[in-house]
Amino acid sequence: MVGYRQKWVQDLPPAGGFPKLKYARTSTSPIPGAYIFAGVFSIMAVGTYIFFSDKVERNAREEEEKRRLSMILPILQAENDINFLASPHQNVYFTRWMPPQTGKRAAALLRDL
Amino acid sequence: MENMLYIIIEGGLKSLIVIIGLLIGVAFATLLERKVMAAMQKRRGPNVVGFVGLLQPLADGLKLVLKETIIPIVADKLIYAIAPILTFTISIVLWSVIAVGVQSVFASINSGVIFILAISSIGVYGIILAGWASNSKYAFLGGLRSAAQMVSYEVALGLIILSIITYAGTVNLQEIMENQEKVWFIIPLLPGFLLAFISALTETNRPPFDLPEAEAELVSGYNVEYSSTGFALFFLGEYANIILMSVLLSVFFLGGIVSNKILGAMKGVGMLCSFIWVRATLPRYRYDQLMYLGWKSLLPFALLIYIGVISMVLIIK
Repeated sequence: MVGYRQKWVQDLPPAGGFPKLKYARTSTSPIPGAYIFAGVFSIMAVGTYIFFSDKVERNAREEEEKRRLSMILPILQAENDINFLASPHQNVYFTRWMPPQTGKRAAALLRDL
Repeated sequence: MENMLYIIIEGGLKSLIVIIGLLIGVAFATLLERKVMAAMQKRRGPNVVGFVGLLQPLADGLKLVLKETIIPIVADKLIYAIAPILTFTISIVLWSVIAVGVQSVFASINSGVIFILAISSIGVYGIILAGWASNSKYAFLGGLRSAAQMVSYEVALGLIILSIITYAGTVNLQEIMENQEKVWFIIPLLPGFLLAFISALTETNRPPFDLPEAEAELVSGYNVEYSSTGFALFFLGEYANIILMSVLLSVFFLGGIVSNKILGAMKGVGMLCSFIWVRATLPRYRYDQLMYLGWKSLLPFALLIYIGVISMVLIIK
């Protein structure tokens, strides 16, 4: 009931009008988009360089291992044949079983490298 | 005979370990999701059952098992029963090639990536069968939507995975992780990671791509008619796929577990938290926007990345 005793005042705009609205777009990032893209692509380029340099090195290492193994492959085959023929009950005179060739074993080794 | 018995027992034990670990992971993934979403929405989440709600997943599981199994009278009962079993089985089979440690894997397959792609493509059938066998319009629409979006985004995801395979030069998951010893693939293939993340969200029907389960339109989509065990199997399969996608993203882009087992697990959990984060922040897509994004934005971009990767690999020997 207090309101009825007070002087009634119309809700009007303030004197001099409302202040000017700020309708300019607020940037979500202080950094321009082009710089962000440049930064991201730079990081990607560095990562790509690191990866491929490591890949080339790894491939070279694996190739060296393969060459090293292929050098001693005849000796491994010879040792395998000698052991098979020297076994008392497992050579060609007692069984039809033949051991896998060293080439296949070498292939398995190469795959495991 | 002894050897055969040993193989059977070993396989059974391994299967049991994988299944138990998966169930526990799914249970606490649901708890993690509810807790994280509650924190992001300024509420407490589960806090009544057990100490600060730690036993809530067990209570939920018990609730689901004790509910009445209702089968609609007009449903195709055989397919209605097979569909959730199929979905759950496929989600478990996918875990057989995921390494949980260095040289610690259930089935060490040289073509693990191919295996994952092949088995995950079968997962669509479980949803289609569920939607169709329910003989309900809402379930049918949900099944069609889910199948369409899974197939659509699987193409883009497949292309990104092809890029990873080309980059690493192998389809063995272990060797893919070893190739990231110097630098993770997320750094040279950051756009590919973003595309893979979006595709993973869609493959698992996660927000903002959860249109098959749109609550306001289809009343949870393809599994609307399922209750008790059937719904539990769909739920388990869905969350198992979510965890699987998190682990796969960490394997393909974040180095996986090649350097440190604990760090690898943290990467997977981090990706899982990203899934939850997206759910709590983004609204749902409209279906035409979903299809447009998949076929006209992600697919060309994925193809462009693949061509770029092939070019680099062919140039650099």
